[in-house]
Amino acid sequence: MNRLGTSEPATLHRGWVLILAFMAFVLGLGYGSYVLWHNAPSLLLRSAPTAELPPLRGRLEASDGTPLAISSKDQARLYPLGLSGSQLIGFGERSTGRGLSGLERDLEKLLLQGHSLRLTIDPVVQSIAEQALWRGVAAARADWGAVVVMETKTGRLLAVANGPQFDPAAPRRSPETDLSWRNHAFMYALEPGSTIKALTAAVLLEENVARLDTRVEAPMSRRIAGWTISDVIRHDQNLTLSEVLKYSSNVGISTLAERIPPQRLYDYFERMRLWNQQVLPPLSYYPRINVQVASPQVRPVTRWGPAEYANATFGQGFLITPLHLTAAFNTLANDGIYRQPVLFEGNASATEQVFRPQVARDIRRTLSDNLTQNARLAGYLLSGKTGTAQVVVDGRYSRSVFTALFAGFIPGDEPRVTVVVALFHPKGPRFHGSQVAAPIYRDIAARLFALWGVPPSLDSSSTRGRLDNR
Amino acid sequence: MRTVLRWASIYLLLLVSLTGLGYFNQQLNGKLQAHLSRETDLGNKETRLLLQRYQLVSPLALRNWAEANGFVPMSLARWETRPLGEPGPLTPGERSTP
Repeated sequence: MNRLGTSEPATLHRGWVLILAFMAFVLGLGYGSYVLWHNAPSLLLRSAPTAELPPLRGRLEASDGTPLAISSKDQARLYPLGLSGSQLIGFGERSTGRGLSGLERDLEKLLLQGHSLRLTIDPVVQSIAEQALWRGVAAARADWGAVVVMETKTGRLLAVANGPQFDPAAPRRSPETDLSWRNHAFMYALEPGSTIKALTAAVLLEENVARLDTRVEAPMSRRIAGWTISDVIRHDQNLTLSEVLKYSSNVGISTLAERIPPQRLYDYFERMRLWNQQVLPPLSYYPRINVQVASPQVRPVTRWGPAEYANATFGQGFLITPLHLTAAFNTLANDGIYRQPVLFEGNASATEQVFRPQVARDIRRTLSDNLTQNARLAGYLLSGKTGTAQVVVDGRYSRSVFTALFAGFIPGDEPRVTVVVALFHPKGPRFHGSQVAAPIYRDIAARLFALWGVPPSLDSSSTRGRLDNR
Repeated sequence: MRTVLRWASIYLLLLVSLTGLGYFNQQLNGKLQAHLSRETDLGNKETRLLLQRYQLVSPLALRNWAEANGFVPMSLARWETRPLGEPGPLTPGERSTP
């Protein structure tokens, strides 16, 4: 008996059965499809997750293709050469990779878009400069040091070394107290001191107001506009221009420079981009992307009195970076043609004839003849000028803080590279450029000659193979 | 009733096939994850080895190694002149051969 009180068996209408079966089938199929979808290994079924990732941060490479900064697939930033060139390359935030210093910061826009850049830096020359500099900084107990090596004919920067060493992978210390991260060669403007005398002498020759044998009264000190200018190295009272460079006489060069108006010297220095912040050509104009270089600091020439002008003739009273000094000094190496330094392969380098070729050669020759003993390398001809600049501390020239410099050419007669060495605040009894910066230049020269495969020239008059230029 | 059984058997057959396919896919997915993980590990290893390689053969490392092993730059070595063809003096330990 059923609920209706009849004896007929309960039946389900055929249509309902079909509907129920179809629903069960669709639900089952839906569930199966869902499971399949979410376990599907095929990329055709799912959108590729990698397509949404930003492009890998661009690479920085040395001139021979050696990677300087690369990103791994998981966007970790790597510096394969470690300590080498670390201040120039800079570093970024560990979490996001955003550039915080050096090229990593300056080129942030390009690198973020995945653009890779090839620098003119030669890793071997860079290592030579760094090895010599780090040793020199430690020996002189200097706060820091910088070396710039520039290829004379092309303006390519082969090395931009800074010391002490900075490890981009090590835990970072306070950027205010520990300055090892900074690219001093570009970012610190300093007074170039007596290295500038070579340029002032070239201006005097170019203007035909003096020759290398022109004599000048040069006592050990003189007073100008209430200020006393003194010389350090003892010398005769009467010097030739060549001897003025030899003894690095402030009195001699400032006296000779009075033969031209201050504006003239200022203009020559301007032509060698000493007052120009944009010493490196920009990588892009729209948007403007360029490598940061500290701005030179100089009073307008209209405010130069006799004392300011005298100071300027021997490299005091204005601030420029070691990079500025290198490019200007390279004018002497490049037979009087100023060549804009370049840091990236393919960058165009502007040129300008500043001195006659003969003027540049004469200055090189006299610098070579009067080269300080610590910069001499037996068997080779080297040429350069020392500098020891006083540093302003608390508004006054300090009696204990100096910058020791050396600006020179390798080789001295037909230069292939121009080298500038700067050591800031060397401590101890040796602090002059000739004592602490010149040996670094010599070290670099020795290793560059070995790298280039240039044998020393031997004295032909000696059967025992005595080296020339001892 | 026969219709119900027929449809039910078809449904069960499809469900079993679907479950089998799902299981197969899960296995495949597991393998894929393992491969992806291995790829990441190999990528990390490649990065580590790349860094190690450059640390070992970077110009700076080579210079330090050469210096530590007594190599002297050619420009700082001792030089002497000798007529062409004339043998040099014997170095200690070197034997003369006819």
